[in-house]
Formats: sequence, C-alpha cells, structure tokens
Amino acid sequence: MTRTWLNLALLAPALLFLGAFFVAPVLGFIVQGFAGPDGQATLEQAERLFTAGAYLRVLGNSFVIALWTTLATLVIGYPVAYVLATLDRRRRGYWALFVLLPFWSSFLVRCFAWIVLLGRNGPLNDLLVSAGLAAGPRELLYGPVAVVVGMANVLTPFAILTMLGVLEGISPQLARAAGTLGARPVQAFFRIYLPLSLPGIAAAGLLVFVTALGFFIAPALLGSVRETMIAQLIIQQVLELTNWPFAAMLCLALLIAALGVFLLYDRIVGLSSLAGGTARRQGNGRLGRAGIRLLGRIGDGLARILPGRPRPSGTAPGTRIAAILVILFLLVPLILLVPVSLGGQSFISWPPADPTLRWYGEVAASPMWLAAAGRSFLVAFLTALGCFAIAVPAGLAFMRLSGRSAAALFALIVSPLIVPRLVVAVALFYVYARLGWVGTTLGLVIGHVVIALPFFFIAVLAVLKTYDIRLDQAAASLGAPPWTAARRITLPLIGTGLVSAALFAFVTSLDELNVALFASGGLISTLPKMMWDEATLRFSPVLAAVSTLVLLVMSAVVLLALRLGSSARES
Amino acid sequence: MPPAPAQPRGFPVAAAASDTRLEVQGLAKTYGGVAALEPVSLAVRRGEFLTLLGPSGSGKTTLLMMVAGLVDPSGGRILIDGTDMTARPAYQRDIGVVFQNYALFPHLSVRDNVAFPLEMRRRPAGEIRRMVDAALDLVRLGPYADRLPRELSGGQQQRVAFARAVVFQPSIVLMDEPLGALDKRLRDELKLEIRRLHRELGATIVYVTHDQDEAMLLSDRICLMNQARIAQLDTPAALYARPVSRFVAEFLGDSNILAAEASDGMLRLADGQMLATRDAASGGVEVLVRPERLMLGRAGQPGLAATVETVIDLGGVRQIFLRTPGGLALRATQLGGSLPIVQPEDEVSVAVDPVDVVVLPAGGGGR
Repeated sequence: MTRTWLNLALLAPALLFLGAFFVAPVLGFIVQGFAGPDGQATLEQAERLFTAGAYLRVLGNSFVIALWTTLATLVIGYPVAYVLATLDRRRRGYWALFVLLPFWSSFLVRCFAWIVLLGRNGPLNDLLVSAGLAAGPRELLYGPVAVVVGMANVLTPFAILTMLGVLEGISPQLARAAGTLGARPVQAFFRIYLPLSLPGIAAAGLLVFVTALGFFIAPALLGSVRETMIAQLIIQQVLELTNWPFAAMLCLALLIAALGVFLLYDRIVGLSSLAGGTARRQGNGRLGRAGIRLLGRIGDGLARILPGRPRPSGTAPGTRIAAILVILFLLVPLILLVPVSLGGQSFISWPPADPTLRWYGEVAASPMWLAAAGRSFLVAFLTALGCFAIAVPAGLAFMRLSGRSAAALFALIVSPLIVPRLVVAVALFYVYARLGWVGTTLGLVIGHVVIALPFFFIAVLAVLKTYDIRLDQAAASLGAPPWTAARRITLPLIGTGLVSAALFAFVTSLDELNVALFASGGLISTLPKMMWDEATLRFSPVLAAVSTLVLLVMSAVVLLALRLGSSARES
Repeated sequence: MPPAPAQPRGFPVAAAASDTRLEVQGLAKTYGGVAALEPVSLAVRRGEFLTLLGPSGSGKTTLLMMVAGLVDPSGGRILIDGTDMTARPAYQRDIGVVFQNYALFPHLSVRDNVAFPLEMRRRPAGEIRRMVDAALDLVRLGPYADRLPRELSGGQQQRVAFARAVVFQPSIVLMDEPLGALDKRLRDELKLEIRRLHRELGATIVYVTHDQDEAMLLSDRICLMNQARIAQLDTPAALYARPVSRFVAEFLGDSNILAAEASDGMLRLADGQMLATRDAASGGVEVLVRPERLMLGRAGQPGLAATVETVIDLGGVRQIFLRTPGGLALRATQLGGSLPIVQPEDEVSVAVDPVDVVVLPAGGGGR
C-alpha cells in the first residue's frame, strides 16, 4: 500500500507537468482545426487542405524530401554504426565521440555551414572548378539536393546512434560461427549480420523520417520556394496569417504522419528499445523470410564475384574508409565556420582572407547578442533544473514499476519525442497567448522542458539501470531508513550520471528554436531565435562568429557530460 | 567481534526465554494471482543454521526476502523473539542479510562498508572502529580494510559481505545463495569458513541455496522446498535417510526408486523378484534404495539377480549400472580405489538390508 502511494508521489510532478503543458495544449490546439468562426464544428479546414493543390504539393514535397533524407542517412550511417559496433569497447568510446559531438551540436549552425559550403564561391565550387569538373561556379544551393544534404548531415548521427543500439546487441560470435561453417565474410554479413540488424535499420529509418518531416530550418535556409515543407507552412499560417484553425489542421496532418510512423516503430522494435532495452523479437512474417532469403542470395552472389582474400578478423578496410569519409562529412560543417568567422571581409567569402578577430569584438560589444546569450543560458539552466526535478523522481518510480504500468509511463514521458517539436511549440504559443506568457522566461523554460524531458528521462533510466537496486535493499537491511539510504548510497552512486544527463538537457535547450520562434516575443529573445532572424536576412561574418562560439560552448558542455557519464558508468 | 550471540533487546522476557528466534506463520506471497509461496510455517531455534534448499522457483528466496522485510507478504506473520515484525520496514528489523552478489557499496571502502550498519545505529566512533576491526579480523580481511570492493577478489568480497551482515550482532543472519557467484574450489573453501563462523558466533542463520552439498555440510536442519511449498523440513541425515516423498528422495543424493506391491514386510518388484523391508506398508508403493546400500555378491547368493551393464570409475567412488533379468534398472555405488570387483556382463546378486529399503509415503509432498 505505502509503496503505491510513494510511487504516485514520485510520479505526480511528471504527470501534472505533461498533462498541463503537453497533452492538454496539443489536444486543445488540434481541436481548433475543426472549429468554425462561431465555435461550431466544421470540416472546412480539412477540405481546404485536401482540395487546394498548393497544400497537397507541400505535403507531397515534405514526404519526398523526408524520404530521400531517410535513405541517405541509412546508407551513409550504416557503415559507421557497423564499424562502431564491431570495435572493442575502449576504441568504440573514442570513435563514438565523432558521432556524439555532431549529434549534440547545433542544428542551426550546421545549416549555416552548408550555406557557405555550397555557396557560389564556397569551398565545394572551388574544388569542382579546380578539379576541372565544372567550367565555372554552379548553383548548388537552393534546390532539393542542398536541402537533402543539409538534413542528412544533421540527422545521420541520429540514425547511427539508433542503429548502433541494435547492432551492439549482435554477438560477434555469430559471424565467426558462420565462418567456421564455411561462409565467406561477405556471406556471413548478408546471411547473418544484416538480417539481424534490420530492426535497427527500420527503427533508425522511421525516427529519421518523422524528424525530417517536421524540419523547417534546412528547407528555409538551403532550399527554394519549391522545397517548402509542411513545417514552414505551419509557421507561415501562425506568424504571418494568424490563421489558427488552418495551422491546427496542418499540425494534425503532421501529427498523424508522426504517430503512424511511431506505431510502426512500436510494432517493429518496440518503443522501450529507446531506453536501451532489448529490441522486441518479432516472428518474421512471410515477407521477412523472403527478404532474408533474398539477402542470402545477394551475399552468395557477391561472394562469387569478390576476390576471396583471407584476412584477419575485423572490419574490412573498405568499410572503415567509408566510415571515416562519413565522419568527415559530419565534422566538416562543425569546423568550417571557424575560418569563416576569422575572415576580414564584411561579407562571407571563401577562402577567408585577412584574419581578424573583429567579428568577435562586434559580438562582444553588442548588447543584443549578449542579452540573447544571457537569456539562453538562463533558460537552459532552468530547463535542466526542471527536467531534473520532474524526471528523476519519475525514473525512480519507473524502476519499481513493471509490466503494463511501466510501459504506459514510459510512453507518456517520451511522447513529446513523438510529437514534432513544432506542433508542441505552436500549441504552447496558443496557450501562452491567452495566459499572457508570450515573451516570458517561464514560457520558454516550460516549452524547453517538454522538449528536453524525453531525452533526459531516457538518460536517467540508463543511469538507474546500471544501479543495482539490491544496494538499497542492503542499506535497508543494515538499518538505513529510505532517506538515509538515498543520501548515503543511491545519490553518490548515480549523481555523476544524473549531472551528465542534466548537461544534455542544458544543450538541448541551448539549441532549441521551435519554442522561441513563437513564444519569445519582444526584443530580447534566445540565441537560436536571434541567429535565425539574422540568417533569414543575411548570413554575415558576425553570425559565423556567434555560431563558432555556440559550437565551442556546446562542445565543451557535451564533452564534460560524456566524460561524467562514462566515469559514472565505470564505477 | 565478541563470539556471544546477540543479547535480547528489550523484547518480552517470556519470548526471550523461549528457544525460538524466528517464527514464520502462514507466510504467503502471490504475484498477480500466481503463488510464489503458498502459506508456509516454520520456526528457527536460537543459534540454529537452517537452510532453505530447493530448485529455482521453489519460493526459497521469496521466503527469505519477506523475512528480511524486502518483499511485502501477501499473508501471514513473521515473529522474531516473539515480537511481530510483519509490518516493520527492513531498516528496523535488525536482520543481517548477505546478498547473492554481495551488494557491497562500490563507492565505500571495505571499512566503511562494514561500519555502515554501526553508523546507522549511531554507535560511538571508537566502538565502531573496534567492532569493524574485530569483524574484519574474524573474516581475515584486516589488511584489506582501506580497499574498494572492486579491488577485491570474489571470495574476499563475499567475506566483506558476511562481516557487514554480522558486525552489528543482528538477531538473525540471512544469506541468499552467498556462494553462487564463485567457482567450485572457492565455494568448497568458503563453505567450511561459513561453518566455522557460524560455530564461533553462535549466530542464527537462515541460508538459501540450490546446492545440496552446501546444505548438507552447513545445516543443522534443511527446509527442502518445491513448487512454492515446504517438501520436508528435517536434519540433513533424516532428510537423506527418510525422505517423505519421491521429490525429496531424488533431490538429495542418488537414488533407486522402484515400484512394488507390498504385503507383510515383503515387496514384489515390477520384475517379479522379492525384497524385504522393515516398513509395514501394503498395496502398491514406491520404495527408495540408496545406491551405496546395494551390496553386490556372487551370482546365486541371496538377493536380487542382476547383470552388470556399465561400470564408471569416478576416482573416489565407482558407479555400477545393473539390470535384472526382468529388465529393472538399478544403480549401485562403491568406494573406488581397489581393483574392480565386477565388470560389465558379470552376473551378480544384489543384497539390501531391509532397514535400507524405504517405502515412500504415497502422494506425500508431491513430486
């Protein structure tokens, strides 16, 4: 009895918070899509969505771009995930850094980098011309390819980490066993490894697809009008046309697509795999078996074509080279803005000339940038605190739950991950507009907590999972009351891990644009919002300097968080 | 560490004077309608070493965890020295627990681990120091006091866990498969160590294991459990010699279990041969004959006629598999060492002392 009450008390903050600032606003807002001007129910907005060709074209566009992005991330992400999964633990930790750093770095800044990279006078055009592949600079920006490249760049680390979760679970013994049974390495890969990694590929594909569907930064900065995506349409409806009902209908369309994808995900791998649990094993259907047979044939065919060179165990050099190229692709946008920010000209030029620190000086002297940075740090700090206060008790309760109640709790707390951030942001804006919270720090913090909470909760569970609950039992049997046991035993052991998780929440907040896009109002907004506003006007060297600083800060925090996290795991 | 058992702690005098330290009355646990433990009652005497023995899923760990206060019972009562402890939280029960994987606090040194229960009881620093030193000396870990648990071997960690569980002189020490994670040689060594510690401390110990050798070696009494119930609770010798069911007979040691028709102290086996017993049973029964009780003689001597099928020499003992002309399989054990008396395909006679032919009670305790 008392245990039930304790669990409820631990869960109360999470349930109340998500109920009030996530479930209610999103549902309340979506319903607006069916509300007529006098409050009566109407299907007018749905009709408009499906009859006006322009909107359908945008929907179609969004799907096509998201699909290409997904394919690209899977194809280039798989070799990296494979190499990481087959490395020994120590070296994996080292290599994983090159995936984790881009993963946690700013979406916005990486898109800025692509503007420079693909620009008329950018490094890529330089390379093409000097290699004789093009007569003169080509227009690489403002087209579907630029948008897909930018989005794939941002989402590939996400795909890699998702696939890695499954790939790590595949025993390297299996491929070795296949070898002793007469399979060539390529056959062992196609017959054993690849079929076993399919759930990971599916999971990564679905997650990337649904995230890509809600993107607006990349299409807005790297694409033309023809690459307009549904998220941009929503922003336009809210901010420019103030057409709430139609914005709500568009959000519903986005939400339905996202939910559909996640239902699929749950069927294929199970949502709990997000928390690092073992992927649910499903019996392969007829289609699955046919697919596995087909993969086997492909492997046999390749084994016949490829030269049979015996090599020591380990990854083939070709795979490693591919992985390194992909990692370079991920890192280039992070590094590129550093020289740009040091260029002496007052416009973006390549290669940067006349090195100067002038732009950093301008940033340091600008009250606007400083105020935005101050606000961003404050919001990020409060977001981390908020996440901590809500998710740590919920995590403790989660560890005591089992079966259906645990699954339900997990689904609720990670559900903001399923709903596109933009939908959360618009729904909160709709509520804030009534409460007069637009432009308040509180409003921003609440929105950021909703968005960061799933990541934080998953990280907390990972920390708690490494904790042996028997230590609490031992403390109790030795005479420690619950609070003493928590203070003397539990917290010292999981503290570092929790701080690490909080730092990730901090970083998530620092890079969050969706909420601030609507809810910041006024003159002093957050750093990402100000960077966004600047970039939509012109990409300047000042922005490159700000971006560089943001990347430095984020990288430092992420490195610290990773360091703390791994030291917490080792003890 | 003073060797005397814990003093009565202000419990009612009548209860303290009685010989019973722990009493469990109708204790039961169900998980979502499935019984992890059917209502169970038992009593443990002061200073006794009682082992809960059984296959996995038999309910032994559930019983132990409920006594420790780490699992809430679905029904029944737990009394320690006559005081009802059922509703007391674990931290107020004054029971030492040695966990399966020791549950040593990884961030605390050996000394701080062992001092933890004393600090919880707010003993003065000097006394804590003295008691911890004594406890570490008892388990011969004095020189390791300042190490972290991960810097110790498995066997040493086990000793720390034991020292931590007894240092505060708890009324009862519970041990949940404390040797399960160790290899066989270390287990054999620590078994004798635990036996020594029990004798030295005079502590009341309830011990969970699925290893019958451990149970036989350590216990004053064994509570053999099966399918969430007690199958039999008795001394190791009695459990071995007089099992109340086929399950008990088969779980402890090797056995020949034979179906027979009983009348007037004689048993007619399935193959028609006759065997004498001291048990006064009649009708269809199952009888147990331990392999080492079969005495092999030259063919034609009194006893059952049989043919040797296989002889397996295990060094210390020799196992002989026999078959009677009627097709009944028997198994005999002899001490090894000397030249084999029998070889495969030898015709032999098998004699059994009627005292060693144990009729198993029909339907007793399930199988």
